[in-house]
Amino acid sequence: MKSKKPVFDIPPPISAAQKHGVYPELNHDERARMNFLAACYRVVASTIAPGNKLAYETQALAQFTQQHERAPKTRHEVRKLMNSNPFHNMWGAVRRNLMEVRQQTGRAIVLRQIEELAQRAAKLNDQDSNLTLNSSITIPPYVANIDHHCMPGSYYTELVTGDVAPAANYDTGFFVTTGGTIGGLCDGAGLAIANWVKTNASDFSPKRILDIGVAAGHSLVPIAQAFPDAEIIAIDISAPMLRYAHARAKSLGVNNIQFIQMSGEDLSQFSDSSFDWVLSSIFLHELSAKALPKILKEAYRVIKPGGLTVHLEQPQYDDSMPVFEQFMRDWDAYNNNEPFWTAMHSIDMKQALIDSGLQSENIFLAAMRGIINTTLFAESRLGQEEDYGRSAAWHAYGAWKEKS
Amino acid sequence: MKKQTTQSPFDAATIAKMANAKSQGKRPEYFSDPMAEQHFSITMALMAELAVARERIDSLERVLVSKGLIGSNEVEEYEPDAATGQTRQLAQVEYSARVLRPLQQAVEAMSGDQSSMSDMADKLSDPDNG
Ligand SMILES: C[S@@+](CC[C@H](N)C(=O)[O-])C[C@H]1O[C@@H](n2cnc3c(N)ncnc32)[C@H](O)[C@@H]1O
Repeated sequence: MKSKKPVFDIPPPISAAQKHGVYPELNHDERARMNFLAACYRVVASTIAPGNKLAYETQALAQFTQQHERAPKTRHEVRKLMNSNPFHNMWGAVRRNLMEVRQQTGRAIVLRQIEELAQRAAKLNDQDSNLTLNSSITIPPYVANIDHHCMPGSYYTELVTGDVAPAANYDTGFFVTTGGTIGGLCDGAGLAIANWVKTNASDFSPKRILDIGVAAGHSLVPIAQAFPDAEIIAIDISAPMLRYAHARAKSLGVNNIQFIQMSGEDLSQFSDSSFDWVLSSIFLHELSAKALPKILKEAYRVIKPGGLTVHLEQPQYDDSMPVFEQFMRDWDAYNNNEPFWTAMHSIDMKQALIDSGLQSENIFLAAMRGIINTTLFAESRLGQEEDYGRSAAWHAYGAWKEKS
Repeated sequence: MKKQTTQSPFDAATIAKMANAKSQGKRPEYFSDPMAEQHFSITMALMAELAVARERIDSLERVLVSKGLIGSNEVEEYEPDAATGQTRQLAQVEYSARVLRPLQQAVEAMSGDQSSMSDMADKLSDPDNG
């Protein structure tokens, strides 16, 4: 019988991304460049990336075993070994270059309309008490010294008054690097979180929610829509992200989020036990070993007894995960400017949550799959192949705070 | 051609350079020869640009055909007037800046902090140092 199923899903064109009030204008060639990137990422992930495992098993492993009379024991050993493997390097060169072309493309789009974008955001944000910026905030070193995902100027650099360009660049590229797999508004992670809470804690009705590191609000908007009566506070250290996130949410009809420029390391503006739910999404891996426990402790402090905390991330490395897979998942740490990724993913999250004050028996690990609008894809086919650290398959590390 | 939004304090040539800026830190090496590295990056950029050009040509042909406007030799015989020629040259400048991004970044890599992500990874995993 002939199978009609294609070897991989064709990623949607960027024109399928859902627009909103601060979405930048893309001309024909800019759209074409984004379309090329989405398509090329897909080809590389499905056709070329599997060669890494073959190269490891058929070339590198024998070389290592001969020398050491054992197989590599850690992802770092695998990395040192594979760093001299020609196939792996060629694949890496392609991936790194695609990321650089993606940044070039996004920046060229937003830089030419940087003032128009700032004005559109300003119009939506004008006099709105739901946006509070604090220009005296200190950008933490793990953000200031690293241009995450090769994004020059990082999340926070401002080139014009009221700048939102870093966020607009991040937003347009997010749809392309995820190949549409987390939806037209890139909200698959947030939908997954909201869905998990509704399913697993159906009588939990949070009145006050805190999101740490909201970025452009991709994940928070669907959560705000799922809990329309909740008062939601979203913090980030970057003014451009907050301006954009607020304007974006407002233009999407979401008005129950208050955006505040603040670091998760210092929540002293909030009193103890003042939130029913504290969450973060795809956030912890961009911190540092010093900041992460600080943020978890602050989060613990502000959660009410009986309240919830949830942190969504790619799965942690543990002994059950083969060292080769850990090595592949670590690629972005060294090659896509995500240097804390490697340490973060080997932290014992349960212990980290215990250290923050939570009780061991109240801690849980939940697997969460991205939920998408099936007009972009046949959902059933998603996530079938492993794309090491990029699939819409996350783990949520969370806990209920003990009732006092 | 519909005018695209250009509301920026930066002129087109400046934007072409800024858009290509290098991210902080030392770039990983994939080839043993730095020239091979540059060469490959140029090739990848060209791959993108060719894809863009093909999509544009495809758009054009579809529009023209759908309107019954295309004459079989018209594109082949087209010559721009002076102003159009100038506009097209600006596009050529932006195009070359994009394709030569790796060399621009090699220049940028010769000044400023070039700490590797390994160094950063060590630093950030130290609870007293991040
Ligand atoms: C990868 S993004 C988060 C994605 C977002 N939560 C989502 O689900 O779409 C990381 C964000 O964290 C912010 N950030 C980094 N350190 C922070 C801190 N200490 N406190 C608050 N925000 C921080 C950055 O400015 C950036 O916007």
